[in-house]
Amino acid sequence: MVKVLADECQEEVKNTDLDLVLRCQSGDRAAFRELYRRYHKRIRSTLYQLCGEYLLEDLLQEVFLRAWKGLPKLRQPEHFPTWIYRITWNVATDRRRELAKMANFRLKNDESNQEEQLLNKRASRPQDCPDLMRLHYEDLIRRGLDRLRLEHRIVIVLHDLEDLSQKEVANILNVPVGTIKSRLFYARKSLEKYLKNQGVSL
Amino acid sequence: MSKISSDDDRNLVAFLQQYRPIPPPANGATEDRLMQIIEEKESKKTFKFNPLIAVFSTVIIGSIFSLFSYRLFTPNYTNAQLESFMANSWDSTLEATYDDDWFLLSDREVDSDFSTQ
Repeated sequence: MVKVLADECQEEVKNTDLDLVLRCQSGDRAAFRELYRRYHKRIRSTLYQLCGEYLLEDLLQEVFLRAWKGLPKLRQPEHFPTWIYRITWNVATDRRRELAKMANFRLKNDESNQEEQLLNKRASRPQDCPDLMRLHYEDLIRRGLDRLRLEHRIVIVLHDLEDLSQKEVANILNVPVGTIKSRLFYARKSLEKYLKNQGVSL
Repeated sequence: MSKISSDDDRNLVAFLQQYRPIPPPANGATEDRLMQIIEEKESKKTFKFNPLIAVFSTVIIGSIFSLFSYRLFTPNYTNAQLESFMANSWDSTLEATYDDDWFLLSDREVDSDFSTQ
């Protein structure tokens, strides 16, 4: 019974999403605002895992601007979630390309000041989370993700953190499922090795 | 989510999900800013220059102009008027005397040289 209700709710949400997308395609800005409210948390989180905190709001805005611009050309409105994740991936890739030019400078800065920055940052926000162990683990995961190639990182973020299926990730990245499996395998191994080297017992 | 293959992977994924980096608090102004940009873009869109439309318009206007200008700029003479015009022109060429124009270039140059001095 519960499962049936849940399925119905799921169906209703999907239908509503579809309805919103169709309304957006006819230029309904209120419908787009509603879509934004539904998806911005997931998109924001994915962008954060891929690109970090800097310019996060601008990147989020860029994703939704591209979505609004591209919506009239979206031929399969029912695939909107996959499509918007693909836009997110494109925006993140573009951003990484821009950052690649400053990579050396950034790495040096990060290496020398990371501890200090972390302490200062956290010290200024004591209300956020006083659990130092948690902060330490979060930081380790962030660093571990930073070390991965972007193609591997996106697979970990979408599959392991955002809980999307391998097939969905394959659709978003427009690659075969086998490629996703392979990337997931190597990404996990690399991340696991890094975390273990940092003293984390899994 | 697909089945996780090994215990190591399962532990890793559990660890990642438990301690996933949390994004900073969202800026509430982003939504309004986004909608404002979209609204501005939409209002600009009505005046957007479309090169394709411009080319077609130019071709159509040019065709219409050339069609009507042919009639507009063609002299509206009758055959009789043309004949009399040609006859008069021919007669005047035969009657004209060119004695005054038979100057020698060298004489002119000499005169001008003297006048300047």
